[in-house]
Amino acid sequence: MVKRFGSVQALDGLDLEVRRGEVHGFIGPNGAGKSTTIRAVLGQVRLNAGTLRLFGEDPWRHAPRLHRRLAYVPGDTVLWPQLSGGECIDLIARVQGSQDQVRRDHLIERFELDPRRRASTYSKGNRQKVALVAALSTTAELLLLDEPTSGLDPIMEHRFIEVVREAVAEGRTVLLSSHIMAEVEALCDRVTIIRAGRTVVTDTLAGLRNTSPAGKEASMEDLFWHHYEGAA
Amino acid sequence: MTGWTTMLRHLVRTSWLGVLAAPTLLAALVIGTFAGVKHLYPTAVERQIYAATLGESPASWAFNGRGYDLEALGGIGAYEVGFMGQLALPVVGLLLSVRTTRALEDSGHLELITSARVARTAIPVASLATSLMVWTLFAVLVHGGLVVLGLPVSGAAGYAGTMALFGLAASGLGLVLGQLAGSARSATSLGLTLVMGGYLVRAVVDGRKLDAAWLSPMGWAAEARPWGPWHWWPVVAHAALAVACGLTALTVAARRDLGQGILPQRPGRATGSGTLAHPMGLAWRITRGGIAGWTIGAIAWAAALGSLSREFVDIVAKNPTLLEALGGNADQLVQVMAMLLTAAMAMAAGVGVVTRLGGEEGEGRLGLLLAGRRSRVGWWLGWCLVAVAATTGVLAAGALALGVTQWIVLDQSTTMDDALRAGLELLPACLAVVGLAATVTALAPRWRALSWLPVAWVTVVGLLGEPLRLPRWAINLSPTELVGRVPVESGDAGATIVLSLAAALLVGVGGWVLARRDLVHG
Repeated sequence: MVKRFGSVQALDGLDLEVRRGEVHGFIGPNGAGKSTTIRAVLGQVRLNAGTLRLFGEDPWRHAPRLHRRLAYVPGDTVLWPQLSGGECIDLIARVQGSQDQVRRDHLIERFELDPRRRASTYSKGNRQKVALVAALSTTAELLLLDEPTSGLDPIMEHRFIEVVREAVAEGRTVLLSSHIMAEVEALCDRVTIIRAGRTVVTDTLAGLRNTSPAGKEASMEDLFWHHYEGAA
Repeated sequence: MTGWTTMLRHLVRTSWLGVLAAPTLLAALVIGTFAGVKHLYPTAVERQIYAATLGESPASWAFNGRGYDLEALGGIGAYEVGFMGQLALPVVGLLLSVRTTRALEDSGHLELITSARVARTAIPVASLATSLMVWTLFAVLVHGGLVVLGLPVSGAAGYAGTMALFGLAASGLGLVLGQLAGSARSATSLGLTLVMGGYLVRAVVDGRKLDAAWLSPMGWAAEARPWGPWHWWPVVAHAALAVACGLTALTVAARRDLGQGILPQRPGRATGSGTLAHPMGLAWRITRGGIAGWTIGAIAWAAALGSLSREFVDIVAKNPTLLEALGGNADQLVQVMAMLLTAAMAMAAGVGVVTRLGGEEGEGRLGLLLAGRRSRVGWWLGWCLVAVAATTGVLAAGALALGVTQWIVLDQSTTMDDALRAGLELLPACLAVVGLAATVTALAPRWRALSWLPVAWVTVVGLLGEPLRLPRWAINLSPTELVGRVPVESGDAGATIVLSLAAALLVGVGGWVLARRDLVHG
């Protein structure tokens, strides 16, 4: 995939494959092209070159139809300041189209969110919770999570990992863009590391460990540094 | 107040363009009006006719405020600035204060600034100092311009000073509301409501020639009578209001928590309503406050003018020359004036709705919505439909209010037909302006503020076209002028068709563009 914004080369031949039923970690520093990739998957930006298929179709051309099958959490959720948190959740989830009411109420409780407060009074962490509850309360097959836990406290980070595990147990697929290594290590089956719009490596965690000098004991952090530095 | 100079430097550095542009534009408007008056009424005889006709008309009093010393150029100039001045000055003052205090608090800037060696109370002090700079510049420019035009130096000084103090008092009001309200948004809407209310109270007091000019601060400036024997109380009253507002704002700022308001905020609904996720439902929910404001403004304006029709008809009956000069029936002339501004408000309602979509895109909320199952064109059409409905609704509400009040006052049912016909004939012009705003928003959401220029132009041409002596081509840039002076003349059928097609085409082009470009953000 290739995407330029003016003189900025956001994606420079990036390769990414997410398989059905897996949690795929998508790792790279700020500005590496993670959010641009996800926006291209959503059909919000048009690639300059390369091919992109979502459920076998071109998301730029068939975005609305394909979006019924996915739910998205942005990295920096901006809400409608005049709506309450509960209204924002229902708005986002109903626009997606497959909201489950029981699941919604249950998630609000688990993420300890007060749905009556105005969105303008929410902290960054609370805004992320709204987007997470909205996305996870749908029955979408694919969850596109773009640094979803930024601003969450460690307790909520833990709840997040639990909830994503439950979603995977139901057979859902997750693309998790993140630079929180513990989160990736806890959740992901396979990982893609990117740097400056290019794929450095794609492999399972076990596969990455096999090629790493630290071997089986290597943490996600070690693996990331090994491959990321190796690409420099 | 520690650090207020630091804050002032910060404000000047971040908003110097507004600090220079706002007073310059306002001064240009005032000086331009005086220049036009000088051209239109050069002799004492002409000025005496003016004083005896327009200067006596209750409709004109309601519209512009009280006219004093109308045999002098200065008096007529001040009278003609009336309406524009009474609304433009306080709105600028209000917005300036809110933008330099509460808006910075909402965006999180003040959290950072007050974590440094800047006290919470330094914020309103620096904002007030900025306002003082703005209004001083305004006074200096107006005074200089009027003296160059040949008006008496002392009268010009008195006029410029009084108007600047009026603006400063409005800045003070913005300062207080910025401290009391829970957000910049509610401070602004509260302030605009008060400005509108103040104008209407003054319109009623002056239109009925009641002896209560003190009742609304909008009527104070005229009472200073700078072009004749000088009256001090309005100057003192404006200054006292500004000082009282400044002190109140300081007291509140010293006591309240940063980020919190004093006025209570209700908790919201725990769940979203069924229509919220529909493009039209969401557009309505987000913009309904603005639409309601324009509707109330249009109804109040049309009803206020309509209720003064009797007096206007009587004045015209006494001065057949006036009718000759203006053309048409007296009741229809009131309708021309009433419907023109109603049309501008209807445009503003629609432009406000469509440009909001650009704001949604820039802040990333549209991206969140477009991750859902609706297409870009779906959102676009829903949003534009609400804009069209808002424009139509405001225009219809204004026309109905005008027709009903005239019917009651004049006991003449044809007024209703005339008002509704005028509204219908102005609708394509209003929708064309909304369509233009829609295309601008779709093409370049960052430049969407430009969409307000046509609305401003319609207002300036409608209210000041004659005194400003604008050339014909400039006047014709206003789409309502293409339609004609409805209902005195019947609307130009060709223009109606062209404007309707233009509106539809512009909305279509906007949707086409939006479906094919990268989203700006999110």
